[in-house]
Amino acid sequence: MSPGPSRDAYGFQIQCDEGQSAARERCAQSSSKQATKWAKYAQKKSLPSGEKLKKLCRKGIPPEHRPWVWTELSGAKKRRSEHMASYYEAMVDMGESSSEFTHQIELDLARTFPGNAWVCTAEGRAALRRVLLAFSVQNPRIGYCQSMNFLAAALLLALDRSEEKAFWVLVCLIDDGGILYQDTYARDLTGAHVEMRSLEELVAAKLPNLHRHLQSIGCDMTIIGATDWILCLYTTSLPAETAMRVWDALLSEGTKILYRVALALLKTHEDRLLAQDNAGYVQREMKLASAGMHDRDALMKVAFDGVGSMPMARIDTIRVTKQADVEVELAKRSRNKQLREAVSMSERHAPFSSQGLSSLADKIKNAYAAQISRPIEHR
Amino acid sequence: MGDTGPIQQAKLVLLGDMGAGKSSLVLRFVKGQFFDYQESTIGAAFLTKTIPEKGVKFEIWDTAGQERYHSLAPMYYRGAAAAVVVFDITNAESFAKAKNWVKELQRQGNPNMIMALAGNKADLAAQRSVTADEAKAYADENSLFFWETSAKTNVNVAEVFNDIAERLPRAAAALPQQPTGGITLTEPAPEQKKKSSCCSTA
Ligand SMILES: Nc1nc2c(ncn2[C@@H]2O[C@H](COP(=O)(O)OP(=O)(O)OP(=O)(O)O)[C@@H](O)[C@H]2O)c(=O)[nH]1
Ligand SMILES: [Mg+2]
Repeated sequence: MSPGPSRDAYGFQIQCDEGQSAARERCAQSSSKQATKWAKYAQKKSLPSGEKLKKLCRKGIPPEHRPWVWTELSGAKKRRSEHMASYYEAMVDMGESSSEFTHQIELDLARTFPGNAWVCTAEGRAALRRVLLAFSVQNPRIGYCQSMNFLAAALLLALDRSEEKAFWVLVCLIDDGGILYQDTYARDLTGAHVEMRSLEELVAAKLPNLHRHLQSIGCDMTIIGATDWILCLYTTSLPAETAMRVWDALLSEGTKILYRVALALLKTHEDRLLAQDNAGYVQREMKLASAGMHDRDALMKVAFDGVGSMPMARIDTIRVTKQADVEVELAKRSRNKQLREAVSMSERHAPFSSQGLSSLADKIKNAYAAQISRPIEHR
Repeated sequence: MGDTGPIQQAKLVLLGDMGAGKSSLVLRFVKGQFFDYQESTIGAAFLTKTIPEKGVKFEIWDTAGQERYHSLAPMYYRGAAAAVVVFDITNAESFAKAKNWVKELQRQGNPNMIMALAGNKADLAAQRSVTADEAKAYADENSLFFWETSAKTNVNVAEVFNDIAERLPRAAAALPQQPTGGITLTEPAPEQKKKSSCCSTA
């Protein structure tokens, strides 16, 4: 209603039509009701357990409590206590002096939520730089993957700009044995491919009409936006307060929430998507629809009550198959690449000399040997 | 030329190193805008732009530049009628990466694909580390259009797309988009190339 660019509590510009403004209003009211339920836990900074906690988190954690609740839920508090007090600072120092990702991180700093009132300030960028550099040396196998810039920035915004909290929650999400599926951000995105294919399978089972339509126009989950969901964890696609609400449940229940929300978005906007007959337009429609999801209560209601049961065991079974497929394909891909490189090298040097041919043979042999697949690990 | 037939759709993909300016070029071309800070692209973004004089509607996929997103690229370049490979003239490594993209497209892409090479950030010529001659020679060798562009100062941006539009084989561009049929991480083997590309039949 009010003219001019208004901003949400995190400093993002709000773009709403009237219906969406009304929905925001409603959600804000239900959120303040939730705040009274959290008061007693907040007083002692201790969380209830089991079903009670799960239910509370599903209804949304009051923004002012997220800093302590998220660090607790994610395991960040515990993780931090297992390390020396200055661990984060040490990682920052190491990252600043020796991260192989300095350049890539630097490139992305100004390109992370450029419209956000705080992230775009010198202070915001410096904080983001330190968190990302620290992470990149803390977990050098993964280092820095584009999309982590959005995660780190969202965490800083949610956690009172505490770098250390943001760092530890990021670690708890991504490190081996963390909340997200293994290797989601790895150097070939293996885990992300597995997640996107598993989602595809769930969509086929739960929204068969939509899935058939998408298949017929060559639009798979990756194209429709699964990279926003699986890698950016909704921070780049949903309005900030809605994305935070997804994280409340994600940190409390784990990755199945990512699937639930994806299915809820697809289901809520099924008609809009069915009306498109080109993968690009489907993607555009999905982006528009997601950006307008200010009714976080409605979205989460569909996610929890509208997409049927989703036992973790089922997801894990699907993942096992997809993991095997993805590994075979990625291995083939890298072998092809090595073979091509070997051939072009030999051609460049001495195309038909016996030396050229035998070195070509060696390179081909090596390329094959290098791809004896490593045993598949499952979670 | 002078053809006033129906508008034809042409799928176009942008490839290149992170930060080379793919999104900025597209934004300049499609909306006439430029931002000093353009959000990094994760996955790919889709935009369209019609050039009525040429009877072409570009359906543009702007992809992510970081190396690890490379495995997603075939999904976007498969069946594309045209590609713009972008590098940053101030960054020699981005030129090396551009060459790799060209190689991959020559091997795996639609064999009739029209390719352009864009040496972007031409406004930063003072910090140049790839010469225009070097890039032009490479482009000639590989039959690519070559332009030095600036998304920032709007130099040669429309030219890249116009060149492509002019060269699009009318019949091929008019073919309907072929379903990509699910995710494949492996590139199609060269033998299958003819079968799997949508624009090989005239
Ligand atoms: N000086 C100058 N800067 C440019 C130009 N084009 C892009 N930039 C800047 O370079 C940075 C990267 O541009 P993007 O368009 O985001 O690059 P991209 O290739 O899409 O990068 P990814 O999405 O990470 O793959 C941005 O900060 C742009 O403002 C240009 O022509 N001149
Ligand atoms: Mg981009």
